Amino acid sequence: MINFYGRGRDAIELIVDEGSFEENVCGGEKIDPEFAESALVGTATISGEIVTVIANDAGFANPHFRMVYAGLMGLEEGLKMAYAVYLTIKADKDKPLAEKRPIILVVDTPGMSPGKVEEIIGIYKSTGAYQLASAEARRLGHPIVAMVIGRAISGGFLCHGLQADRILALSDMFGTMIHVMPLIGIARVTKINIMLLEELAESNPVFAAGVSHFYNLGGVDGIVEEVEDMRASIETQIAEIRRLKAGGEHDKVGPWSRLMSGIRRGGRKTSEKVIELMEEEFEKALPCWLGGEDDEPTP
Amino acid sequence: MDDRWNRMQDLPFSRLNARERAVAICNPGSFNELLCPRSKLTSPHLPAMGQTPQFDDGIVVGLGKAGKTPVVVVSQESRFVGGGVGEVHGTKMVMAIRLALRGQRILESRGRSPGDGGQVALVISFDTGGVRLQEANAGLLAHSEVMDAFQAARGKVPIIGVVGGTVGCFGGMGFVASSVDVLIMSDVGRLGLTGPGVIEEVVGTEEFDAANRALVWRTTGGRHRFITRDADFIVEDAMKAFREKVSEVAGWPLKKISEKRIIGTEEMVLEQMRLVGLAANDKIQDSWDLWRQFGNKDIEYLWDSDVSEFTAHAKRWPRGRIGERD
Amino acid sequence: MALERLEFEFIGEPENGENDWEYLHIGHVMSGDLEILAERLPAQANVTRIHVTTSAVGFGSVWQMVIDEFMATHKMYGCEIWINDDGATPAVVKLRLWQLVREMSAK
Repeated sequence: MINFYGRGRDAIELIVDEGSFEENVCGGEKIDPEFAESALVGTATISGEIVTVIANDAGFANPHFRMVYAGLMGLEEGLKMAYAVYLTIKADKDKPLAEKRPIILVVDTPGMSPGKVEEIIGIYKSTGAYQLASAEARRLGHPIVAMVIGRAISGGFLCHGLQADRILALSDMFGTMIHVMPLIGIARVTKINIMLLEELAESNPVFAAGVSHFYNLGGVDGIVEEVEDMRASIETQIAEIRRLKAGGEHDKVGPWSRLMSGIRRGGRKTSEKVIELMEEEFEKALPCWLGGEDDEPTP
Repeated sequence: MDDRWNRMQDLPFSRLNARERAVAICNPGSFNELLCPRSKLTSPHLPAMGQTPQFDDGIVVGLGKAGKTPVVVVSQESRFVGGGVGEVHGTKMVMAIRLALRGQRILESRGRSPGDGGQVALVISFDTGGVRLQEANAGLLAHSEVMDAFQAARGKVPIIGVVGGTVGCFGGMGFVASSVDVLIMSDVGRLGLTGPGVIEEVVGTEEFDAANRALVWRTTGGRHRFITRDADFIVEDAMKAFREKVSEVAGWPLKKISEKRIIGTEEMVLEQMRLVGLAANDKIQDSWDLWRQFGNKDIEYLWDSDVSEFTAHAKRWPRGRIGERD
Repeated sequence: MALERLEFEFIGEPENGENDWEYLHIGHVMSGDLEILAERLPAQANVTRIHVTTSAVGFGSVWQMVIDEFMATHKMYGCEIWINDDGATPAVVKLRLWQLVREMSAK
């Protein structure tokens, strides 16, 4: 079976209109082509509609940072992706909700770069910046669809993918890897017997690797079975996202909607209780906390 | 009750547990916990793995007042599975942010203004290694929900982060802490994405010697984060110091609080790109190389001096161009 | 590998304390330690139930001894006590129970 590890570029070609992908241009502005090349950003069209594309190109290492290779995302990569999102927001600043251009995320990353200089500078800001930018674009109306084609692992997936309105993933057949840590690693760190973990993973999606586990938890909105279906699936999602946002239903897309899916699909049953009880207790505590409706402000 | 509150003020912040920190960061007697241990809403996943759950799942959430400001407080307990974020823990945190925003809307609907306690603030005490591996997938997803809720609260509810516990703030919670408006740290507090042990294991001891405590603190500790402006304030490891700083900041106008942000706009991304540029091509081997670039000369003195001396003399990243001082 | 759950029940006359508490919580679940949650039953109740959840399997008789001794000393009737334990030694269990009693009288 084919897989798409390290083939972000190939996947883009399968998704966008033929020959439409223009690298290092976002919202009409140019980005330095030599800056953080494994963070592949650009503009393309899908059925004639302009979209921003953000992808991993694992074929490039970053010559300035040793720990950026094989799709690992470093200090510059996260910031570059964040910048691409802001350029997209800016380009459509004055456009109505329905015309905010979509952002397509092509996801294939094994994670954030682990390294000393990354910690000295604070790589958490690179991934944080990109997530905040994506959440802002999503809330402003840009439909964001993530397409997981290979690896979507731990902090890398949080950075690049998990802030989308909708997340699609190629099925396990393509070797798609979504997880925080392989079971053997979890067993070692937590000192839980690997055999027990393997057995539990059959019925509980909460810790083990796999597309279907993430689907059950709501972390993946849809599974794509054929490579040829990626494009159509993304277009369907864009239309659906637009419809929901036009109706002001911002909680039916994005991370919160995935929590709700996880509850519906049975993967996050306890979260439902947490939400209900906290809302209930909050209502009860309100008068004491903020004062009653007619109360004078407390000194 | 107030006796206990008074006693806690005089203790080191790092020694208090999550609930004590939450209680003591609020005005005396004002803290009201939501989903307290009595609700017994424990992790449904740990028992099957032979691991004992904790009634609050390692996180304390509640409503209180800091000075004149109504606050929603979140406090992580690092003694329980290292403060790791699992399903219940994560959902409690997400809900806390959403409820803070709801509280703010209620105040606005009553026509209250920030000057008279009409501004809700969110205070989060981080003490965590990030995702709880036993519930890794749910923990991971919870981080994305928290970041989304942060963005929703943006410009409406100021978020004040506190890092002063024994574990610090690592993994995904590292970027959550960097996305707050104002971050307060102590010398005990550490902030990072990949923990020192993981770097050593994945890359090698020559890259990072996790057993070298001085190196660990130099790289991730409060003083370094203050120099690079990731932390806005560094305070003594005393409950009182944290409480006073939180109350002070919570009373600021929203605009002034938001100006302390380090990420969240295009300009800030470009700013961070300039900071990163300083470190390209192995130019920075140690955090102190960066300190020197910002004009700090007697670094040993800065490192050993007490917090007030350090704050007074440390030259911080100028945020704009190197060489410009604010 | 699964957790062990132990239940203990005691019946007797509650002591006439001036205690004004509804519930108390102390401790943490961490290796070698435990948390205790004590909830007060309605005033007339003369039963105390103690529920132990522990990761250290097979120490039921040790728990029985420690808890018997505790109840004999403190006569805490009219409560529901929940213990989450991660392998605390009897000494630590006794210390935490003692702490619980101290909290009660402090309230």
